[in-house]
Amino acid sequence: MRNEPSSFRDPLSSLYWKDSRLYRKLSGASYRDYKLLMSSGLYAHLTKRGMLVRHSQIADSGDEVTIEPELIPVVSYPYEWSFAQLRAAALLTLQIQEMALAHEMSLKDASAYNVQFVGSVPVLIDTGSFEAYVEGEPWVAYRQFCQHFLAPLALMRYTRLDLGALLRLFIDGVPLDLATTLLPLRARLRPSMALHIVAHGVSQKRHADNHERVVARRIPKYNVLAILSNLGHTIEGLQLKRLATEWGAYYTFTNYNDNAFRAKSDIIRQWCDRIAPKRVLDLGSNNGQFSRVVLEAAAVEYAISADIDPVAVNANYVKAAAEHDTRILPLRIDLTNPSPALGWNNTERSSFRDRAQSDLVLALALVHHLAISNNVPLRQIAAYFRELAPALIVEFVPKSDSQTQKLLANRKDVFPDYTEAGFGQAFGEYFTLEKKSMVRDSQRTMYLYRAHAKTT
Amino acid sequence: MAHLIAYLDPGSGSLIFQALVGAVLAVVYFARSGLTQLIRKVRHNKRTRETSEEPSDAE
Repeated sequence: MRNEPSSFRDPLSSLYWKDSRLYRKLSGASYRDYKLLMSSGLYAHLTKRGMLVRHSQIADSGDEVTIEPELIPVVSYPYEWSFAQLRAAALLTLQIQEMALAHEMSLKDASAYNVQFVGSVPVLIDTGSFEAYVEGEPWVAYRQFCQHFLAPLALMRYTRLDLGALLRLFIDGVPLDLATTLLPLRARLRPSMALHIVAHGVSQKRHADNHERVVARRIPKYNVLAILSNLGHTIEGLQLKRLATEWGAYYTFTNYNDNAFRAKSDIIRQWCDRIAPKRVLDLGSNNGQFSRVVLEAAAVEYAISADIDPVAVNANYVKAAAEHDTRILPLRIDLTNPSPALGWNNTERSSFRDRAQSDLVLALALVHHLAISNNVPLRQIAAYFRELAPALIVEFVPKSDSQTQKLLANRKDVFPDYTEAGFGQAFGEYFTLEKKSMVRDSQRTMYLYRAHAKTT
Repeated sequence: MAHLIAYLDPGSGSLIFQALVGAVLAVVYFARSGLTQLIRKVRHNKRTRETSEEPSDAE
């Protein structure tokens, strides 16, 4: 038995692993709240709509219950989500709180980490988050909701789209005074921002040091509902403008014509059938076009579709969400600085490498960026891919390619080994070449590699 | 009301502020829903007046 390191804050609701299965134990007041969740009809209401994770009940001793929740294929964190993902998670949290109140219950936390994505579908994973609602009580998670959702969403919308990464620095959400400083005036002047972020932050600061025990004034349910409704309208109103970034127009400026694109897709499909991976990790996936090609292979169950560009990842998610796709997980990952292990004891949130373990890595038009823009030696790139999966489909883009030439335009060419021979040698240290194929109508070559047996 | 017992620190500043923001938004919410109801009522009255002027075989 091993405690799940991400779950320790609530003493009455704990998660643990036993024989690779995950269990949740609820006791004391949490046991009574669990009983109410089940008997009030809220559990049925939420699970029927796919909003709350389903579980099976393992044991009930009368004052303690053990349940086994369904597992999420790949765990991801808010600092890896695109704007649209964080927005969807926020709206889910508000909808659940509204439904909870309708069933005389309430969410006792509003942590963004309590939401996980099954493909593009957000789902609340903390069955222990519900408590009986007492008329007149405030929503205890209001502060957390503003810090975990509203502040980062506002910053992404009004300041910089990649500021969702602030959640990596501030693990309990973006401090409201910081959000106030970073937001432009036109955003701070919007009534809902002025209330929930600016004034809320001022109130937090004013009462930060006096540690008084707050005998909170009675807040009628109507007022709590008014706050929820206003937060919902505010977040629904946060929409991204059409933004262009370096990748925004990638597929209209690639070195691929339709023929080459189709040829590349065919190669990937064939090789996927040959390798038969269950989980594929598509690195540098842009808007997920080739992740979707991979998912056409019969064996493939799930694809992690990671890219550095927040606009591309957002577009990837929006498309997946529109199709209710439960097999593609778009994530914003900077491979030159992927998510580390974070939080208490460095185990609360695990590293991207630990979570992204797959059966196949797909690295298309990626290596030249890592090798040339970030100066990573080819050998280290091969070693990193080997850490992530035992098989690899990788594309080599030669120096003569115009995309590579762009990267070298204003710098000294300090990459004498960046040749096809150097590439083959570097990857040969970790992998055995199984297939190689020129992409028709382009200068690029695709490789299918299988890892050598791992030596320790 | 008794003081809250939450495993999570709701933040004293946030709690005090929530009472205030709840009151403000409740007024807005109430005014808005009142207005919508009023508009609906006016529209409904207008529609019933219009339909009652036409010969109707209902009822």
